[in-house]
Amino acid sequence: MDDPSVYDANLVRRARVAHGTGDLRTAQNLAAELWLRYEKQARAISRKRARGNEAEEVLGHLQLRFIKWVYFRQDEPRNMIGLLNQMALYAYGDVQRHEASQPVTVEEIEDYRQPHTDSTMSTILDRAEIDQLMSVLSDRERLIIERELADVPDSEVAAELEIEPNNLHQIRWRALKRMREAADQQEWGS
Amino acid sequence: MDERDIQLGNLLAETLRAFDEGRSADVDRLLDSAGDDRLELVEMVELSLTLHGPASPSSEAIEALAMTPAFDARSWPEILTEARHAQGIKRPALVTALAERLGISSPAGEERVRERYHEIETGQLDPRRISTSVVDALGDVLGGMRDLLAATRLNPVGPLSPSVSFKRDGFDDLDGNVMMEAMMASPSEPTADERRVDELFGV
Repeated sequence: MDDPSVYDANLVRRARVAHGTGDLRTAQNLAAELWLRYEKQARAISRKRARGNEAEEVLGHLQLRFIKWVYFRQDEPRNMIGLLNQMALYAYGDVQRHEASQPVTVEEIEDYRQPHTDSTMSTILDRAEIDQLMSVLSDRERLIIERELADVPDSEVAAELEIEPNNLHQIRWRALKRMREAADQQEWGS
Repeated sequence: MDERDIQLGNLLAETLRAFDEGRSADVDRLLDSAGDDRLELVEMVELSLTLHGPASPSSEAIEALAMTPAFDARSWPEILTEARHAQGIKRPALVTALAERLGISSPAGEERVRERYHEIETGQLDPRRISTSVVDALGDVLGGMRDLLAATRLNPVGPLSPSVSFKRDGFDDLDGNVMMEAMMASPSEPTADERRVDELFGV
């Protein structure tokens, strides 16, 4: 399977070419595909900024910013998770300004030049980096994460390891924490 | 500590399931139930989703989403002009209806609405600056276009062509001389309605 970042970059480039040549239908389809690839992650990211209905509003503004970025920006596509995290900061500001009936400002729409730095996820770009993070795990932890990535039901994994589902969830939680700590260290070390 | 990790591990599993099934209300309830650990739980959800990698949406889902207002790439001048022409609305009639919805009743105020609307439709006034009440009123006047206008107001208006900038079709009661005289006239103190209109349009 293609590297996701290469696939994403290709989608963005094709969308911009289509938009530039007036083929708006194609541009819309390509932008929609890119959004749907990361919609779940965007939902989670919006919930880092707000709760409940307000999180849904942040998500709406995040989607708008993401689409405008695809159509109208010139910068090269990069890690979509990092980009979404950065945009979510501005999207939260959009919600606050909307509630105060204030217009958005040009600068806040167009300023995505600074790389996002406060998200662990910004460092995870491809499978090789995931494998590197998984090297900090024990054999059992790694097996649990690998089974999860393969969408194996928890009941089957628990049976395979002869443990209770509660125990499985606990081990997975700790494994993810260790991976996040490892990613943080990589980020600080880079 | 062990007990808390079990609770959070169970919450993570439940939250991911709710995410998969598109149950947003359950996602929010589960996240909130983590109390002080809510943010950590959200970050674990994000990490888990990131490890899974991007989704592979169906072509049906892509095409359905692509047709929603958020993905419309047209600028406001294009959208407004097309909508007005499609519905056979002349600009004077639109301006009168818009002023009414904005609560602007004086002739001077309505004239200011006309000027500002002209600037929007010809790309001289950035729609990002105007208030949400104008977006809503305009959407209503043009018939159910609130969502489309709200979703596209961030689209750049682009460089203006000379043929667009100064074309005033739809204002049959005006000619170039009248406009020139108005522009040359000495400025007077704006009325309350004029100030209100400028504020609504972000000028």
